[in-house]
Amino acid sequence: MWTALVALAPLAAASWWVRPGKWRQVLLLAASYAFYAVFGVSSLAVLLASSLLNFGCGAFIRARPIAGRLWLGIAANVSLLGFFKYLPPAAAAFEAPLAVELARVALPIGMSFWTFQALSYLFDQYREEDLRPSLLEFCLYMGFGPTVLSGPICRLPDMLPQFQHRPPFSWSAAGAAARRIWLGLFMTSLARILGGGIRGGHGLDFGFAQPAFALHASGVWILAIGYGFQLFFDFAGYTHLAIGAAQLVGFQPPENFNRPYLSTSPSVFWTRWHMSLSFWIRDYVFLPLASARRGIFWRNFSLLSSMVIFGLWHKATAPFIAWGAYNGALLVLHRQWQAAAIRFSWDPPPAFWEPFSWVVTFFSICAGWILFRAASLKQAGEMLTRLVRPADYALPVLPAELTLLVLSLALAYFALDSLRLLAGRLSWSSGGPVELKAACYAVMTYVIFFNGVKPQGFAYFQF
Amino acid sequence: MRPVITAIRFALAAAIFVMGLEVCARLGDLAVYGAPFSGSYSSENLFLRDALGKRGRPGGSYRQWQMNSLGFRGPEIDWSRTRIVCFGASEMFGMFEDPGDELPRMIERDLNSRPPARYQVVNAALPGESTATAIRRVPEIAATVRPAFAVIYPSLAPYITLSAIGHEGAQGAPDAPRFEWRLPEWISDVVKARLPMRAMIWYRQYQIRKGSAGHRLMDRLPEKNVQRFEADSLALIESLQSRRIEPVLVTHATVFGDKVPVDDRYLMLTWRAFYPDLKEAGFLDMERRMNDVLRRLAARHGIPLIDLAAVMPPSRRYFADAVHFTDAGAELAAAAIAAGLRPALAGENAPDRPDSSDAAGNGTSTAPKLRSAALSRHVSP
Repeated sequence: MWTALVALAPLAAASWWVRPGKWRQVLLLAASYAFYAVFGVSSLAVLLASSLLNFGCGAFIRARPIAGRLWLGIAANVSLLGFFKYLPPAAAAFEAPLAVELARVALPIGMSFWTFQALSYLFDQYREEDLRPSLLEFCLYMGFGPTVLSGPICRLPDMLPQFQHRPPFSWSAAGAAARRIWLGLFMTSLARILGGGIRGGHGLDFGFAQPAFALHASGVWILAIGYGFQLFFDFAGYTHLAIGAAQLVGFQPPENFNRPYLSTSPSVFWTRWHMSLSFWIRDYVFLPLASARRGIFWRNFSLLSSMVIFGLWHKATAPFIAWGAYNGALLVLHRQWQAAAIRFSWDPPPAFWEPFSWVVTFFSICAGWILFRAASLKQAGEMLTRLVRPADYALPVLPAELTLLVLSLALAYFALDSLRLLAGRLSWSSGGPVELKAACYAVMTYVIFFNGVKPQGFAYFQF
Repeated sequence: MRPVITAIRFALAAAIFVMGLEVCARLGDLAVYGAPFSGSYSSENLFLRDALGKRGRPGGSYRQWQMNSLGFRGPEIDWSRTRIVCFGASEMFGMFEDPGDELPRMIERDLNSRPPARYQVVNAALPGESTATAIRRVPEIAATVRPAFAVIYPSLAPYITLSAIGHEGAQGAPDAPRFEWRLPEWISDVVKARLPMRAMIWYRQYQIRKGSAGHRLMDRLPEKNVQRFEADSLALIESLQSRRIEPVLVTHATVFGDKVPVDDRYLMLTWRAFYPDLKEAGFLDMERRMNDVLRRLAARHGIPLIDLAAVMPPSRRYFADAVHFTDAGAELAAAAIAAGLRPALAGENAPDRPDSSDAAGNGTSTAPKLRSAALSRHVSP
């Protein structure tokens, strides 16, 4: 992948100087498709087919925006995604020759992301938004190199003007993009170290491979918090890479993370974590569903259903569905709590309440990561059961180096993020004196090239 | 004035960046390997130089390699066990295996797989050591380890350059620790791990061109080199036998088998980069002829022979590079060597060995039997 990126970088860079704009789009699409073909020509064929299908569906809906046509488009996309994503695991349970063949069908990388982009386009056409992309622009929207693998999930109204109007080239913007890529590499390296450990074999992968009876409450918390940070560093780091790469060729995809672990409620958390998917679910699932009927029960049901779809988007397995339902339940509880506080006019002092809310939110979200990471619902259940046994808290934890690694990274993250929050613009990569930046970049460079653990893939490539 | 200040600040930042990386490299070594933060930390920590040349540094450690108090890789000597000493170079010392999975430890584990554990295998191999150098170490090793058996797994390639034979490690880094930058080695590791294969091939070819510049390239190893190897091997055998240590010869295995597959061409280039005077075609011929020397010596002098070159499948599953074992390779080789040792050990402890029926007992080659035993146990389709 990295070789392909380096090879295609000059092609993408040339897009700054190509005129007219249409040729720029052609160049970017060619570079994007060449990059995507690295992951399989058949995947590229599926992407192309989906692009053509959705472009056609969009025109069909625009001609007469009725619900039937929209549902047809949704059914086509869900069927395509279902065939590649949900059918093979289901078919693996059967032994018939056809099932064996189906089980071998490989999911095109990033399909969940660009299928949701296509769906948002269809919804926008149904809502009669003024969107008339050319086929070239639509194909570029679907297969845009920096975001095609793992998002962020873009919306055509944001991207179309950027495809049509090129900003002037600026060295400072290119520098900021490069810094963002470096930060992304640094964060993904931290995720790799958390997974594999500093000394190979003593990371979170080792911890989660332990039988549940060998773990105790404190160990489960370390694994849950550690995995929360691993996932954050991995996906937020990848997002930095994707956005930085897009910025290098003059585009600004949507942000995906905004200090999620400083959230003081589950509702806030879900506006800061994987924001492009959260907002997609909010706009195209929750809001239409919640506005269909009135009443608290229906609103809570909509919340719960939306979060279950959130889980299903990742994988159609019991742990992911349970993870979605768990987070839906957290959101419902929070809403009910807010309603009760208003009803009884309870207004605790923020100095006490905000830290308390943060602690509850952080640990609730982290407990949910057990469901996200566990190999089965049984393992997740056993691990979560440990958390509610007071006697288990006094027992030994995981290897000291893993505990130390997780706690030190978590503390460093909170210290740096709090500092950034308090100091406004102060950033360790883009602000401060050049000498401080040099020291920070030395640490980042070392971590990026740290050899202690074996390379692993990005966690979100599997979705 | 302002440009000057800016230039000074950027120079300072560059210095901070370099020093920051050096500090990180040291902290990384500390966290991963428990290395000291200050002082030097290189492979030289493992070795000492004395009048005889290079030897293991007692208590030395570097990365995954740890020496015991006598300067041998592995645990302390257990005087209650029968000791088997292993001679050889980096292949025997262990390069790519996980700590504790290097060949001598694997042999020991195999021999002690049925309780009671009665054998200890002492790793007296040193990277880069030739048979000629090993001869000089025999008196000292015999006195300190008092082994009953010696497994000889000689590295053959040092005999490509006769002028260097017997002088390995005579020159080198000074013993006293001094300040050394760790950054260059870290950068080298990073580059090696991430360079694309084409770039690595180009680099190896460059190394070979540079190393062989001004030398006459050999198509084939000269006969006198093979004779020198035979003479040294015989001298080592006699030196051991004179100290009542029973030698066991092991032929040298490579990843290639009879030919170099296209996919393994890079491994041959990497190997040749260390010995650029011999052309690629000459390496396999050298292995064949020198392994024949070992077979001949074993037959002539009634020494047990383990024909590892015939046992080891030519597969990258078993070799991390041209000659060094992976964990799986060390396990397979150890099984073959342990199976070959058992007949000799059975003679030593006849009543205790349940599998003493395997014993050849007459000192002739046990290779065919070993091959089938090892292959049937370890080579799965």
